[in-house]
Amino acid sequence: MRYTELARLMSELTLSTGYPVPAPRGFASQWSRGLGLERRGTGRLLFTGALYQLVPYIEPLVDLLRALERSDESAALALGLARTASKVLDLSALPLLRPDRALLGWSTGVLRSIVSLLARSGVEFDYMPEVSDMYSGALLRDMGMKRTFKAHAERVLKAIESTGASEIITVDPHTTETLAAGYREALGVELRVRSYLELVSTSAVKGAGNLEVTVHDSCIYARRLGLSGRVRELLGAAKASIREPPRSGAWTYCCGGPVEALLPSLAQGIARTRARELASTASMAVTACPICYVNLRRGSEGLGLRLVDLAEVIAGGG
Amino acid sequence: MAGELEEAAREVIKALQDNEMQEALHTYVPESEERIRKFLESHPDIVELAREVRRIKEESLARLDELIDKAMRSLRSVNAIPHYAADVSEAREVVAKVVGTGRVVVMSKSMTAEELGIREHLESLGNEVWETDLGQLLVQLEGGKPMHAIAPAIHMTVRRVAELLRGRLGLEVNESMTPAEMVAKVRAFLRSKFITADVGISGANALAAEEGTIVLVENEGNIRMVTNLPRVHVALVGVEKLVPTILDAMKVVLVQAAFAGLYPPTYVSVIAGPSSTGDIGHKRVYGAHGPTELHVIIVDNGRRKARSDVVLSEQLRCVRCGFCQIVCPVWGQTANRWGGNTYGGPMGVLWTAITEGLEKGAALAELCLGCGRCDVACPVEIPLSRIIHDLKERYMESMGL
Repeated sequence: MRYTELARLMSELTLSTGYPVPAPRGFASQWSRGLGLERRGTGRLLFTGALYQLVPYIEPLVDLLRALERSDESAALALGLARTASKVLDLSALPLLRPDRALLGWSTGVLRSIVSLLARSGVEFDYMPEVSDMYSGALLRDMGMKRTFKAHAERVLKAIESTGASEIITVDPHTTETLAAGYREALGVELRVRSYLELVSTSAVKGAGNLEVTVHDSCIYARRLGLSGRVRELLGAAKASIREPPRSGAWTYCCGGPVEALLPSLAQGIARTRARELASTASMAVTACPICYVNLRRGSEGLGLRLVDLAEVIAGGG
Repeated sequence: MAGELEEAAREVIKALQDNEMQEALHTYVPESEERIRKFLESHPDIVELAREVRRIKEESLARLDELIDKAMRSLRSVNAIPHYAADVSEAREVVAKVVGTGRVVVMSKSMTAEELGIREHLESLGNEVWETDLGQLLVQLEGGKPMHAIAPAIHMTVRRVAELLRGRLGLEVNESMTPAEMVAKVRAFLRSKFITADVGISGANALAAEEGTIVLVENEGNIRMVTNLPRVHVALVGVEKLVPTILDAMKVVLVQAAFAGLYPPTYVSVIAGPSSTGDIGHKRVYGAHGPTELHVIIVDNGRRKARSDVVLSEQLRCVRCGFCQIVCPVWGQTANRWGGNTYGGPMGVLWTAITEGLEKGAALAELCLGCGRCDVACPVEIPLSRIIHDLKERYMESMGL
């Protein structure tokens, strides 16, 4: 029953709040405060997909699920209660589900770095928080919730279409692939979606000093979107010295993230395997996906591996 | 269906808590992956052959009914005895009739036999049954299930192997012995079984319909013993193993061996009927040095139904090399504990859906990462992660989500 309850909770939360985990109203757009981003009529919409913003809220939920993993009954009960409570309460106010403060700061920093890189590359875009920071529905699609995903995607598509944008800029692999392939499969639309990796020019990249890094390729960037080469070009422009792990590019190894909600200990085992491999290659590993970052962060405890997001490195903040 | 996911998750958690298994998997699996990948990178000709096998399998599946009819006729023409079993109970019944009771039976590792529960069934009928592939013998001694299609005891450390051989077979082995010393002990033990066995049971990597010929690939040499020493040989062959010709069958086994990391294979056996001689009076006599009787049981057990499932049908191309298991991050933590009664890992989720029902396969599918490493690994380009994703949708659909 636990998994049924979990899937229903995520489905209901997405349909009622727009996001699959409990988070306070307006959380997804906090990162852009004071940046002066606005609608400029460029025809290009920045669409964060809220995945970086969700990570600090996913973390306490995964901790809770891990604590409940050994007991189907307590887990099912807790999730059932959460489903009931979510209809009347703001679950994110519960002490057990407080966001991870360090991750909040990190995700804000990464998104600001991306915006700064786009600006330095001369890429103009529109930003409308009520649309730009909507959730794509990636996790629902990954879990096979076709109906919920379609219902949610229809709402997101309508919002995107209302902006008149003809091109969408994304910041993470899951959102990129979901908008391109997921929306095509579910709604039959062909959105023009481009990852910021494709738009940032190498001249906009700042030097990262004598940094020696290894690269953890995201499965989606490497195997579905063919962007692992681009990640290396950008790191090269930052004068970072790259040491390839044993498994990279088309053979990159998963961080375990996609099963973190269903079976946190399995996700942790996979993350640990990958983190060990990265740690044996270099002391710093670059990720380009918030799910990879947070899973490898958990999996690398005690290994002396520092994780950084690509945007942090190439924007000059790494 | 929801209960099946809970059960699948419990099995995975058990695997994660099994320190022996974790030690074995973390030691052997990455090495195997690296070895196979390096081999394939340096052998583009084998990769090209794999793509040809994809086409052969596609053509064979499109002509499956015709090939089954043809194989039944061709098997008779080479003096083999063909049988057709629609499901588990029919397959068990045919094997039981051939074997009888009170016999000594030796088996080479066959996942199809495992799927049909042949060993347990024959034991329940009062036969003495021995697995002869070393890994599969260890699985038999452990009382578990094979943890990989080609390397069934991949989850066992040397310590565990020594424990089983000493505790269950009474062999004088200990964990400080070298693997070679342990293998010698097992060899001596199994020799007596090979010599006294009445019936040998094998699978088949391919069945050539035109020639009524089965082809088997191996390294240990046990398949040669199982299929040659006893007077009766029974081969269990899933319908998806049918290909038009011997040449096609040889291509299948070479690709299977290469993607399993065992190339060149030590032995390939091509078997067309029972042994025979015509040396006395120019009269052909069946039953010379090899078996007198060869029974070939063509098994459906969900495969023909899967052929009509637009998505699942692609899985029937599988040559069971197990490379998708080796590269899968979930399987790397759990081996076939993430799986059904017989099959595990990416291909195993789908074989479970075919042979044990869609519901069970769909529940297992939920634990897939969707990372796509299996898609890159598959020699016959089965879009495993896409098919698994489709099963996830069927699972959630059943919950109205």
